[in-house]
Amino acid sequence: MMTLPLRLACAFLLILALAGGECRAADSPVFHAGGFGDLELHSTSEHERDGVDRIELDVFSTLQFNDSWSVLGEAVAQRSWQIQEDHERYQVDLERLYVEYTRSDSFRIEVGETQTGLIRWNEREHHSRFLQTPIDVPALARRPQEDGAWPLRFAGMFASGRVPGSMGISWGVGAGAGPGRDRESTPLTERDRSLAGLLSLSMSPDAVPGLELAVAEYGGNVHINPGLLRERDVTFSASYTASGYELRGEWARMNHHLTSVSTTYLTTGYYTLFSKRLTGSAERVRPYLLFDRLKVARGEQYLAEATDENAWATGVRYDVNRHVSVKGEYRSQRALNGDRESVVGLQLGVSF
Amino acid sequence: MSAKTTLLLLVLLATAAVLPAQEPARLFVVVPESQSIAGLSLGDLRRIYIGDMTRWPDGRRIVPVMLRPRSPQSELFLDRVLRMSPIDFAQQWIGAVFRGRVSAPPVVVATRDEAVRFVEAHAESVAVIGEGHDVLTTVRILPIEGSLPSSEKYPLAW
Repeated sequence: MMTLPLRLACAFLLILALAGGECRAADSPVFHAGGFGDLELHSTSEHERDGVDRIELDVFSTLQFNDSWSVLGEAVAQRSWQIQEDHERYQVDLERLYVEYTRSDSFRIEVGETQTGLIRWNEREHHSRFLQTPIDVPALARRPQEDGAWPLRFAGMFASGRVPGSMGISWGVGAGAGPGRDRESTPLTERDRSLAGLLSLSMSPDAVPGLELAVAEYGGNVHINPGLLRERDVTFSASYTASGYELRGEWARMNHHLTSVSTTYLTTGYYTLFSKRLTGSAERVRPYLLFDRLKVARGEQYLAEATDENAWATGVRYDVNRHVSVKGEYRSQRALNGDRESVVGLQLGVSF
Repeated sequence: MSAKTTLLLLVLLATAAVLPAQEPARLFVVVPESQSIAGLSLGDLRRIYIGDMTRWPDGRRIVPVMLRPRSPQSELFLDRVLRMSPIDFAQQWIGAVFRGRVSAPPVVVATRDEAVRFVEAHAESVAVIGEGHDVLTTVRILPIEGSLPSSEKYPLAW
């Protein structure tokens, strides 16, 4: 549940973004606002969620005071259908709000609420589905609100930078608070806030333009009732995006150690995405193939809402222009009752 | 030689005969005379134009400038250096702004002269332009990978 200041910040961001555009005067702060909108329709073989499945408005604003200081805010309004709870869910959430100081490309620091960057998919796409090639987010990258497992939000301080040189090495170090007992929130003021830390390292060598390899590790202590949950997560990712090809893969493991009963739970998952933009008169078309797996630790109460995933999807993204895309997809996935189900989806995405 | 190899060679020969011969082309990377940077690597040039490198060594924000996406020079730059289609390039920058790494996408200008005038007037800018008949005297051509366009090793010549 959002506090009043967060709601006001969301409303402020929404108004700014809907006002749209960019304001710039000589030697004055630069303001930029924009956002994304998605509309999804699905039809399943069991006909349990036919029709409009999700509507989302994602707005963000940046205010650049000078070459060093800036502020970024992002808010999301979403209406989605919850298959487990069998009802519609409306949500307005502050996704990111932070102040950034940048000394150079070698060192920048963000203070506020931001993404952990643990899952590379989220680091790249944040919340927008317009930017991603397929319709659905891989199970690894789902937020807790979408029954995802990994801690994706983080409140605190995050420093990052790039090491000059032909290897394109980037680093990131964060410290602050991760998701708490309620995985959908990051408590800051409560006594039981969950201290967390993050390390990430990536490389994108000049010798292979478009290649990026990354590793990230996240550690935190979550105060659950009763006891303490020690969390240690690690992810490896590789991507190649050049000459119309998009190849992405990521593997992640989450280790939860419940100190009160000295039990360890392991959750693992991965995804692979292959896509290729066609050429010539068909350059607006990008067919794709996605494999998506997630195996949630059996019996872990903290991840009770997260579900296993075993799916593959194939579809086509069509870019009407640089701001509008239409995607059509066929997906085969395991339903909640264990049987496989087929889902046909259509998504309209816009950026503004 | 197997039948498959012969067939492959025939297809390659036929393709080469049908494709038009490409005109030699060069691109120049220009900065203001006041810019102190000595040169850029091809990797850093690519990083600037995909929004991964945002600052000059003195900490000032880089303002990249390019010709309209469908101009021959831009298409050459996108294809050979950035290895992106115009749509992927536009969406790359939508994402870069959204991630907060940059405040705005590259400044787009219509002509080479306009690009040169913009660079003259903005100390933090850099532009990729095509060849022209005039001699560039008001902006500085940057060496790429240590080579100027007159060198045989210049990487932005095809």
